[in-house]
Amino acid sequence: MKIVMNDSLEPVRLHLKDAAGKLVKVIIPGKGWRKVEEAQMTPALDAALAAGTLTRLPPRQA
Amino acid sequence: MARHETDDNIITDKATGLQWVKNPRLILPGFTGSLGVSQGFWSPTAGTYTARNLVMVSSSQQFARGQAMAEGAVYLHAFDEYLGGGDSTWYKCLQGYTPNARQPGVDAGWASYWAAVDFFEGQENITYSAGNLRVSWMDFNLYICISGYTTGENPDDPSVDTTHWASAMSSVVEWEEDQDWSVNDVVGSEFGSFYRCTTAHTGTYRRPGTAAAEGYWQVFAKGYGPITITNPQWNWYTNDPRYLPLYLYCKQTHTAASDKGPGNATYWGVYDPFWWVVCPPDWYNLVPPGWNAYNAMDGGESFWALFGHNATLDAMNALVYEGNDDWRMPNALEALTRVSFETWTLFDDHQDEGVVNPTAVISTMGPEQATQRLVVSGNGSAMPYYDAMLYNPPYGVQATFGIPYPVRGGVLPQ
Repeated sequence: MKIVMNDSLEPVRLHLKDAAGKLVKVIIPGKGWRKVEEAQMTPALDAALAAGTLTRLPPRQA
Repeated sequence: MARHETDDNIITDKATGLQWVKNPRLILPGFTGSLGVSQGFWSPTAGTYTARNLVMVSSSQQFARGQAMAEGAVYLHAFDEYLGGGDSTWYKCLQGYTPNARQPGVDAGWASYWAAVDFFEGQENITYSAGNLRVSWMDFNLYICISGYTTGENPDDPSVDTTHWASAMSSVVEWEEDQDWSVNDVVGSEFGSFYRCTTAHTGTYRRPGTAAAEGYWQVFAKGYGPITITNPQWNWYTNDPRYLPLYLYCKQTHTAASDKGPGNATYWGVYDPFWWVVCPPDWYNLVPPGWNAYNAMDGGESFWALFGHNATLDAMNALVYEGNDDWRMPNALEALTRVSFETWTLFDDHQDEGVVNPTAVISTMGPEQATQRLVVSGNGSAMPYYDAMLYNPPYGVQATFGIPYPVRGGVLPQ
């Protein structure tokens, strides 16, 4: 389980994989977060993370 | 025995059931003769619009969040995979308005009305006051601070620290259209975020098809859907049926004026030459009511000739006279000799594929190949049939020929 955060006010739309492995369009709301399963990780999401469009929240502190 | 039979208007290939009509140009309700010409996108200052000519309604004219709607204009209520809703139907706006919905996280300007609720910071020296909201790292639920405090080192997550935090999930509601919102209302989104209302407001889109739209929208014409998009790549091409322009045909010659726009059914009717070619094969009977010039030819079954407006198509579809009042369909090689490649470019020859899937072929074309082209899947002269399509960006596939589509039309030999 990952959590991705969109820190801008505008929503980000991406293609991710659903549980069946099919590409589906998803929305990361503006100033919002979304839980992303490992299986949903796709190049589109990786690219958004690499570009800083989205950020991955750090793991919870102990 | 002749392979084909005809009633002098229709030729039927008895081997396949495919039918050819005598004059596929008779496709405008109320008119005879060929189509007129396209006069581009409709404009109130375009001068004279002539009967039988065509205009386009821009694909940008879509019902959209935060977009002001103009009275009398026609908008496409596009199917919306992101946020639900949308019925691919064109609506005429009866009363102009500016929508004021501010769905948190989604609509433009939402941040003036809502504040996103943060995660629990999980750090020391953070001071919380009673009433503060935070999202748990543990269960992702919403918690409210019930007793103010300042965190020490490695503070407990709100889901654990029951001394200072209590679940606030019971106060969370779903955001809805056409709703009054008060300060401190908390909504949860389907995306996993929580938002707190910071400014009281009423939000509505007057989305067509909802109660809020009553008096504001009137169905104008059925669009191209519902469309099930199974390949996300489809959206990256301009042939996404949802974004094709709406074509209108001019019912009577008139001088362009703002009150004689696409929403005025006295002057404009819906023309949809792509109705079947952009649909899956089993949708080929999706012809609007009134478009039944050939409906009687086979007892209401699904054979239509809708593409007689293009000289290339006419040439491609012309039957071959074999003598003794018999005709046959041209084979691939014959068809190719009829195409002017100054206009249409041969894109590919899928000799081995047999039946071609137009969408699959399109998917192999990048949008950078934005030129008119003919895509041919020929089976050679040994087969009397061929599979081909005309691909004409930005309008996508304009016509297909071949086995997958039991829809044919053409010009009888003179």
